[in-house]
Amino acid sequence: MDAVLIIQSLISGIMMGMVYALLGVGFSLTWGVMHVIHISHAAFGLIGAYLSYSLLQYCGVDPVVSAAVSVPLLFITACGLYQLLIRPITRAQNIVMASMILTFGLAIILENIMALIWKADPRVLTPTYSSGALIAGPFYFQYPHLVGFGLSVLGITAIYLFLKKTYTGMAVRAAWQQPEAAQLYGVNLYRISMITFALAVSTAGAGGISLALLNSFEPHSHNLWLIYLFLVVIVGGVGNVIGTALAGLIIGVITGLSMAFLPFQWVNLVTFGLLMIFLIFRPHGLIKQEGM
Amino acid sequence: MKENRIKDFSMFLITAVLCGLMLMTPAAGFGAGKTIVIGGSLPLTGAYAETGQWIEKGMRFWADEINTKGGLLGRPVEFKIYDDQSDVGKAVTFAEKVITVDKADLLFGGYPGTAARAVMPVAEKHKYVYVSMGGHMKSFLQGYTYSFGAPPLMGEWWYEGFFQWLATVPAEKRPQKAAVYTINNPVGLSLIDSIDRWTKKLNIKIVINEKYNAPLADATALIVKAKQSQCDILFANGFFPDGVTMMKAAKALDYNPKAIVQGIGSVVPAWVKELGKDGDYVFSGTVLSGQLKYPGNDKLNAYVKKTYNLNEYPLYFGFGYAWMQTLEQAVTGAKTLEQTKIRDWLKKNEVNTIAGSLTFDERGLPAPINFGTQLINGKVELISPKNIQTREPVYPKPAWEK
Amino acid sequence: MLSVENITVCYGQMKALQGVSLEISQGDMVALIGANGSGKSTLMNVISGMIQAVSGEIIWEGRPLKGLSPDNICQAGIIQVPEGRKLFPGMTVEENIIMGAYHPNVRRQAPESLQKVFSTFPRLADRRRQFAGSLSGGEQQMVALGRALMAKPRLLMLDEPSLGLAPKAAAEIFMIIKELNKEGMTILLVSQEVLETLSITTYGYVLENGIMALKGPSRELRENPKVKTSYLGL
Repeated sequence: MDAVLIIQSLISGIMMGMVYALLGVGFSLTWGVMHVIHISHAAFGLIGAYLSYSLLQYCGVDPVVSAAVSVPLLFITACGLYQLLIRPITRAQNIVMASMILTFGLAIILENIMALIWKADPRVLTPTYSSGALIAGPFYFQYPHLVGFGLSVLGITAIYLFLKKTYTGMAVRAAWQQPEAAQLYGVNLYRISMITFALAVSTAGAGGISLALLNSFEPHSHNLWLIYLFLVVIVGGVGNVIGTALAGLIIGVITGLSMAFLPFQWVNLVTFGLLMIFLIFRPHGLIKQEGM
Repeated sequence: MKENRIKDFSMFLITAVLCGLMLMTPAAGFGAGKTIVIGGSLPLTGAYAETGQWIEKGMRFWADEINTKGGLLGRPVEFKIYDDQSDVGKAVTFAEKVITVDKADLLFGGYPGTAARAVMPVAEKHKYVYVSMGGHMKSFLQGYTYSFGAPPLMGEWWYEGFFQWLATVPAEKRPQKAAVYTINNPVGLSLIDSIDRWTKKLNIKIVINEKYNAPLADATALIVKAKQSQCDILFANGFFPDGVTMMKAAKALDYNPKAIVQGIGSVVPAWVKELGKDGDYVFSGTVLSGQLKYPGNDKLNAYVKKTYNLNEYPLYFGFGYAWMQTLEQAVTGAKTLEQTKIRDWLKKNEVNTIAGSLTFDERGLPAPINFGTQLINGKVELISPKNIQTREPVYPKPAWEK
Repeated sequence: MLSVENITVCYGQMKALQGVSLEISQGDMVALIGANGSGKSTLMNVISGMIQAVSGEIIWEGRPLKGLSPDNICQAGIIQVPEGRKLFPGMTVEENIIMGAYHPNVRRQAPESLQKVFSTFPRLADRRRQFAGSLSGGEQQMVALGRALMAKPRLLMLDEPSLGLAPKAAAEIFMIIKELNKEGMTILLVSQEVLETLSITTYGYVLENGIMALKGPSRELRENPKVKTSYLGL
């Protein structure tokens, strides 16, 4: 196996991994902060992908630009959805279970709505640069992959800075680490939960666009994406932004290396096998530290 | 007070009689006999929804046609279609239900191959004739007597047409080294069969022979490898999502083999719609085509033109229709709904479908059918065998347009 | 400034507080003492809006507080330092303190407030980048106090500020509390260190099984035979 192919596989893996990380970071937050396991998270990612598909197809808007439209749109939608659906179940005895059942139903509804609007046939996001690659010596970086990767790094950095540097972001962390004290210092838990949920959903949208730049998608694709969400969140540690990003990188490296050294058909087997071993030794994920 | 009650009661009586009449009317109207129920399941939602819905459309087109002609054995036909949500387990459950609970008169064929393969033993157990595409060669080697592939979808035959054409290309112009990437599932693996046989015959060296699991997130490394190994023919034995990933990588990396051969990814209409010019020039195979000159094809084309504004009926629309054609001719030929008699008739007689005339062997299979195809200007052209060729293939494949 | 009138709180069937009343005036430091489970923390949480009373009134600066949410009560200037400090363990010392200024009313003054907190607790300034969970008990209590001061409290409620601290650290904390009151801060102090508490406060209340059993100037309570036997071990 020559070095070029190994590095090329690593590049591919890392780009993919970061996209999964962006898709997963919001899932991780809603899980960590609100104890809501948001099964329809990936379905919202898919909505982001479809929105950018339509905007590209009918208005010629580049996916990166359309992210600027669909991300806020998803934010507003998610706020409404929180008031309507999520807030009532936060009073449930077992929020985790209740949220899983509720959002599982929501995922099915969203899938059907998408199938209704965009039909069941698969779609491919093909911006003008979709057929090119940056060639660096013997290595290739497909432009859409680069853009998806860039969008992911940007998205994760933005979330990190939001949580680290803004009062609202700090309140999100505070609400999750010590909800009682957070309330005593003026944090309105419902408001913070709404923001967390909406933010998570909008990052899912951005993640969906990034993933659509790499792969084709159909209304049921979110089921597949959901597996990657669980993967990055469990490896990274629930609620941990840096952990999620690291998990994305690690999964990317593992996928890349197994692509280079093993028959391709083993790649998924190795990835999930390592995940299981990993969980035995680090059941809390990479970073146990609550917080970022 | 009392008067009111009598009034109420009479109103009730009148309503009841009217309801009764309404219930009886349809039965009286049909006269000749009750509806023939044809049951089964299709993937109307989930992973294979797109294809499942086209099969349903083809079946319903057949049903409308036969009902306007006076029905099957003089009785109207009606479908009882369950949505198996692209789940093989559910397809089996629904097949059992259709036979044992709904007591349907006939069974229709399901999709995809994995579901058909699982329903075949159910049909055999209950002695129901099952006309479908089957689940590739293996499923027809189990000794089932009630299952028919009419026409079947046979991965093992899939590239026959393409290779027959390639054999006519002068040896020095043929590709020398092949890269074969195959999706790791029964459908993908069945495609390798004809590649193995023909590459030996044509002296093409298989340099790369790798399998991958779905989903294929990125094909860059695969294409780099093919490019490095100077493979001048690429076999992408997969479905739509991985097929697209492969094509996009090939274009981005400017990989220009003499030919790209696609499994079944390019069969879906979305291939042309979503990839546009980049989807052009891939070779593949087919069992059915609106461009074949068999009777019925023009009628189907006219219908899809009018209803869906398509120039040619989609493959699975044709499959749905052809399976029902076979079942119809068997029932009409046997003059009964008795399953064993229908089966025996099919074993002995010929049916005429939009895929041509078919006679079935012990396995329930017709003689190998496959037509080589190539996508040219967004249109599936038949390239092989020579007598049905709609266009001379474009070979070698032109370089990517940037 | 704050008057609690006839508050009753129920946890299911159990009455945690029964007709409890309490008065605090501007600049006062009032003690609330009682055994474990007597209802001290419950009373604080009712004032903070964390627990809803079944009946009774809480009047703050002439306005009723009943029905307001904790964040609104925080905005009104009543700040609690909860028992066990309840710091944000995954945040740094500085972030913990800054979170005290979360409320928009005080957010603008945050930089100056932070300077002031660090000059009051110079030890925290050195550790500002450490995670709050890694500090000693005394230091953690300082962080909790610093966080509360950022919120510019007009009534500071301290729930067991010396609990679990080494004697030296506890004495230090009491020093600081006394200092704060001297600067004009109105304080409600809940503590099991009865002698210490009664010696720095002006007025005191004694809760027993959810009922206000005794009240009076701290000096008198200290001499009260019942207090002596029950709480001072004399």
